[in-house]
Amino acid sequence: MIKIRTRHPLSRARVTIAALAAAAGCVGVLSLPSAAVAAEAPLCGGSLELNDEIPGIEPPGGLSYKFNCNSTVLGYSIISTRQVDYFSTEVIVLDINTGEATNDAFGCEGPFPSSGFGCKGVSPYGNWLSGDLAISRDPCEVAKAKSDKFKVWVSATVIQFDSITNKPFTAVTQPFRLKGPDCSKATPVKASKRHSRASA
Amino acid sequence: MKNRLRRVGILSALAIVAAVPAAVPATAAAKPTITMSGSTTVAPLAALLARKYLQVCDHCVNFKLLQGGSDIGVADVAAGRVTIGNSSRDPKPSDPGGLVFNKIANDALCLVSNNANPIPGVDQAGIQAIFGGSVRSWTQVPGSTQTGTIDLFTRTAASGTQDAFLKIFMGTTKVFSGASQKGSNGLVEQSVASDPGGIGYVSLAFTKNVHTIPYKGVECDLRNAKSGQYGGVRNLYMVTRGAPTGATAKWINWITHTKAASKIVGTQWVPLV
Repeated sequence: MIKIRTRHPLSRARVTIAALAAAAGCVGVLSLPSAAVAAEAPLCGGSLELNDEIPGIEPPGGLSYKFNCNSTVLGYSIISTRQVDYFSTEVIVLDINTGEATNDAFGCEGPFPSSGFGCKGVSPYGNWLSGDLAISRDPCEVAKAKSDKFKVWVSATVIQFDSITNKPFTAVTQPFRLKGPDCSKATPVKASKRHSRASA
Repeated sequence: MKNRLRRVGILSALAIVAAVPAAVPATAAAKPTITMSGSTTVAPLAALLARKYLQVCDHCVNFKLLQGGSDIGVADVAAGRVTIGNSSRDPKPSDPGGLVFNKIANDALCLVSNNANPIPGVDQAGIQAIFGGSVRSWTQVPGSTQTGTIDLFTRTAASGTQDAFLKIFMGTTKVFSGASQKGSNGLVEQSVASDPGGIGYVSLAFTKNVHTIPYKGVECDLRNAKSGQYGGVRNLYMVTRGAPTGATAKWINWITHTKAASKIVGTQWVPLV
């Protein structure tokens, strides 16, 4: 009798990230000139916060995300380890210096429930993108396994400049993880509600 | 022997991999997918309702939400590209035949100015003068704190909000050709919020960062929209090709007939029940 032992070399989360990042970036990758050389790799960073105040969303599960990049953003994908079942369809762009709303916005589309969604628009260098999403579970629920730990990544399509010709081209950033949410900031009442819901 | 075992193992693994795609369609067929495209006004409402519906029906369906504007939604559903076309405008004689406009809610269409220019009120003649282009300076508008040129923000032709605005407020007056056209409610809100000389119109759900201008002495808010006092209320629809059936019928019926859905609609829109 032959016993076959198979072990998947990649975790589900990694496969999901790779697939969604590839999907998000296909437009950018296709338009990359073969000899293009970026002056520097595009860098992005951001965070995730618990948000129990999203109108129409019963807590727990509501979250707000915010990120920016060191180049103009044309689109991005949000990828989550826990199932996303809501996202704000319009995302505002905040000025990097004043924090006030600019006249740019992103429109978001996608399936739900799913591992994420995509948004398109224009956000000039450094400006912040700020939107909401909700997952089907409590973000602060203790992970049942390492792969169940709640993590959210963003992969953005950005404008880069060739270091030799200075011509612009589109590129896709590596998935970068949004920091948070900080579960210690949940109010005691809300935390108990979270616990009871999570254990129900 | 060792090589033979390895070969058998590889062949068995390949057989398992080959069998997986064959199993996928059967699983997907068990759970229908409702695709929606169109109105940027209906999109945020549809997203909120879909989340609740998934909880209530125990994930009985999958959803896919796209945008583009009401005309895109109507064209998509007529062509069979989506299950539902979201529309924030009434049916037009030019729409393709065989479509059913399923009314799901009402929405207040608000006139908005920059927070630094809180216009105290406007009537229909005033709106027609401003958006028609016969009044181009804020000095001509009573109650304005601005003195410069009026920056008009309107919607693109595919927009149901644009259609409703023309129907409710403009009558036979045409919109000034120099107005800046925007592709969504959010972009109009952002544009007016960042321009002290700006004025536009958006769904009530997109008024967080701007001043809402009272129309005919009535504030544009949820209470006045629900009571019928506010004059700028329009219909929101989910358009289907023929009468909705199956999972689509259940979804639309849940929106229009349950308290759970009404509670969500009532947060920023006007429910039917």
